[in-house]
Amino acid sequence: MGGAGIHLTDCAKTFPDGTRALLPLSLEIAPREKVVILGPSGCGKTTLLRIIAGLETPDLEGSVYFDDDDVTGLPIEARRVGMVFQSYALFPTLTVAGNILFPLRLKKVPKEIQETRLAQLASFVGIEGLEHRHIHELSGGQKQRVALARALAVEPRILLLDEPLTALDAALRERLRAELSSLLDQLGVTAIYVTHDQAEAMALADRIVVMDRGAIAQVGTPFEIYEKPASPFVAKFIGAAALIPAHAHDGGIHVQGQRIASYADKRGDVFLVARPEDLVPDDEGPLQGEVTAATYFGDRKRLHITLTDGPPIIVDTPPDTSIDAGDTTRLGLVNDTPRILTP
Amino acid sequence: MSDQTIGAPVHTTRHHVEPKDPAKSLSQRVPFALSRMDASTPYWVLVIAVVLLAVFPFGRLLIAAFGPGIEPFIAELSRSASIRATVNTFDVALWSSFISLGLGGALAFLVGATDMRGKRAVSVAFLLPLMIAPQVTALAWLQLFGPSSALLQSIGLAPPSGSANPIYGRGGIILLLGVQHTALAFITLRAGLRAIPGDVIEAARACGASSWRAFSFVGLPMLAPFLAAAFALCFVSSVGNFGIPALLGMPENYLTLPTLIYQRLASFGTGMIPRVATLAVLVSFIAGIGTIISAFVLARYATRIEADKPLAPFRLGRARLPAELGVWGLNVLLLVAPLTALIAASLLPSYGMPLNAETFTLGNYAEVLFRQDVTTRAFMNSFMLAGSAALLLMMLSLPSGYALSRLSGRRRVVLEALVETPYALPGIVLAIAMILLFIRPLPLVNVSLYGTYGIILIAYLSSFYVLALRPVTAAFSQLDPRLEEAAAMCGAGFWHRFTRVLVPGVLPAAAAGGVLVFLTAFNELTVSALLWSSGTETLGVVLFNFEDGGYTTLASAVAVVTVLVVLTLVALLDSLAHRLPRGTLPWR
Repeated sequence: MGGAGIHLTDCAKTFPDGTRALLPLSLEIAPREKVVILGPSGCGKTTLLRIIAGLETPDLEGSVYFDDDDVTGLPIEARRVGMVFQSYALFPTLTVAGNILFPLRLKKVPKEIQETRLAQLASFVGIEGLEHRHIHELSGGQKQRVALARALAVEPRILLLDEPLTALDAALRERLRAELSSLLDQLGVTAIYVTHDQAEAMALADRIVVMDRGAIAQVGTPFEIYEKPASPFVAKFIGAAALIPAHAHDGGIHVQGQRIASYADKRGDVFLVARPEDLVPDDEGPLQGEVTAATYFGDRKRLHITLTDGPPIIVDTPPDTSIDAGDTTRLGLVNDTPRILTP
Repeated sequence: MSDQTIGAPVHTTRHHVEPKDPAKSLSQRVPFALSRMDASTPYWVLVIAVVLLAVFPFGRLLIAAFGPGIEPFIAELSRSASIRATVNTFDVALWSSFISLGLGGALAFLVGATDMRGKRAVSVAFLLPLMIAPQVTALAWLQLFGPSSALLQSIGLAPPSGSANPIYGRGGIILLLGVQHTALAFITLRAGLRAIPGDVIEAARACGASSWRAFSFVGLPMLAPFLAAAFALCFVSSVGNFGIPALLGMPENYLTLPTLIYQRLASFGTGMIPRVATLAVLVSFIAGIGTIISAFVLARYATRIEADKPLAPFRLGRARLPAELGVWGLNVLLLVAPLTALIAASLLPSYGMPLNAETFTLGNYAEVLFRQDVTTRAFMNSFMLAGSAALLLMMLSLPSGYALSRLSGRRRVVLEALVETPYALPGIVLAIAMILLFIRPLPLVNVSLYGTYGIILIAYLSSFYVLALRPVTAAFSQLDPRLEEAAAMCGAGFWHRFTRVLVPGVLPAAAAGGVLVFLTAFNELTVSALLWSSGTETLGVVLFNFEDGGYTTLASAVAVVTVLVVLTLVALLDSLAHRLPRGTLPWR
């Protein structure tokens, strides 16, 4: 299966009522790359996907290229993209085979080739034996596979997935996430995947595009996004981080006057990025707070702590810890090189 | 089930209110009879209403038709007049349904699936015929195309005088039934288009189909059940229609089943009742099958729920302006021109004169509104009958709508079907059933309702009950059941919960239902055509008799006044629209 590179230049989207769903943005996606567009609802991620798909046209100054083809003015049917919709959008009047073969029948592909393709695709997504079922007889997971098979039947240059797992229940979602990740690896197709779920993004992406209010907040590998969030928004959106106001001077990071770690990059006001795994209860620790709630999860105990003169934070502790709601505890850093965010 | 479970806490709360003397405390709160009300009372109101208004009339009709055995039934149906009328009925109903489906389908597509401008105005303009009585439509078209057409004369296009009006007879009936029911097809198909999810079309395009191919390969098959249902609806309405074949067919002796029934009764009197009962059962059977088909198809294959993501409108491109002009041209032809012709005819001193500054007169209006006893009385009668029916049904719909909204399963299906029956079946059938029920004095009280206002009022109650019940049931269903449970938790007994918590929430719907009943009853001709007697004529009857007797200008004046009253009420109802459950108003 081929994979085209995508070049978006100055793509913005203003709807007729004046809402700016997307501010001008440019993005390069390499052939065969798996890119996840991640963001809260209303951030413009679906609009961006629909512009790549050809379901929306960008405002006049924008352009979309697949490799060297200018596809800006082409509608979706002329772009050769495969798309998996959040609702699956399967054709209810056709069978599973009818759905998967729809693109081939449009092109009047010979019957024998259709049969071969159907068998290949059905076995690839794991729905052998269901070919003659009606859509309403399928489970959610099966529908999702049929939708993927139909998108692949187009032999797309680019595969677009719009929150494909959101409609499934949590347990199935996790299983299909792993399965989808391995299918995408086997395909080697350029894939753009839209989601609001960071676990999905982490599991599937070569690169993640984090979006916020119509603009790109950060582009990077899952590692970069997690370890080096570029803005408070990204830090808070990925991994439930709390931002603790701090000050960098004299080669160290200071919170409320207390030196908590060494740091020499910058001077001035900064934030300490505190994820649940970054702090531990420590009688010698530099920070102090009151536990407002403690929840036992079996594998860990999660403490909600309000720092003295500071923000509320979340700290995960071993499940057997004796700290409970109402206690006051001191906290220390797990390692000596904390993640620092400059405002 | 539900009434028992709701009923249970009522008794416990009663005892909690004042454990020492519950009876006394209750009688202080509400009148004695009402204090007996509990959650099962509305259910019994509903059941009794259904038995009286639906089961009795149609049971009586079936007994009359089949009571003497099957042979007289077969004999009546094999008479050549019956066969000819049956063939005619099918003939006009089928062809007119194709016209309705063609026009309504094209409109639904333009309004529901393209980027045509002024969609709201187009919807209103094409749904208005739904609110205009069929006999008024027929009269208007007669004025438009006749050799004495004031409108055609003034532009010099009138057919030569003495030639026959081309609107009379089979072709005219088909055309007018088609026009009359275009709105029905339009509404049904527009709902069908709304049920097609936009992303399914997008998915077809992602597979490489152009917009038009995506719509025809994927959208049209999803629309199929709605097409079938729309056809069945138009067919049923055409089979039962009386006003159009009465004005356009009877003068040429071209009879459909409803007009054959009418003519038999009018010529031979009530002695014919057993025989026309047979015909009435036949009409019910034809209409019933169509109704069942459309209900079944819609329930089985069509989700009436609107898609989450609506269809993206197709771009008409350069065809947009011609399409818009075509739509408005069609509206002028189908609605504006006939109504203008009707108004023109109502402003003439006598039929056949051209309309100009010298001939212009308001005399017909003065005549029908103030001078003629029979028309002033008919206005009074129609207002009174439609008003009483509206008021009574509004009150009845509150408890019975509540009961229906809390029912589920087979009991609900059966009760709903029974309530729908008198409205779904042609008015002529209901009229025959009413004559059968009331031709003899009522037992015990020995009062005869036949020939009084009473029989018309009861017929209206039976026929239009569902119009009042539907919006109220929908409104009750939309109320959160927790609301009632919360009120019970606060210690409110059933009567309290019902009057203080539930009814205020559904009053707009009840009012809308009442106005719908009024509108329909006010426009009605079929039922009263068979049930009126001297003194109880309705507007429909007067219009029909005027036209029948050659007083066309007076008939036109009556028709124009009726249309004005109806349009005023439609506007009033439309202003209530935002407070009503969706789907209450047929034109929205």
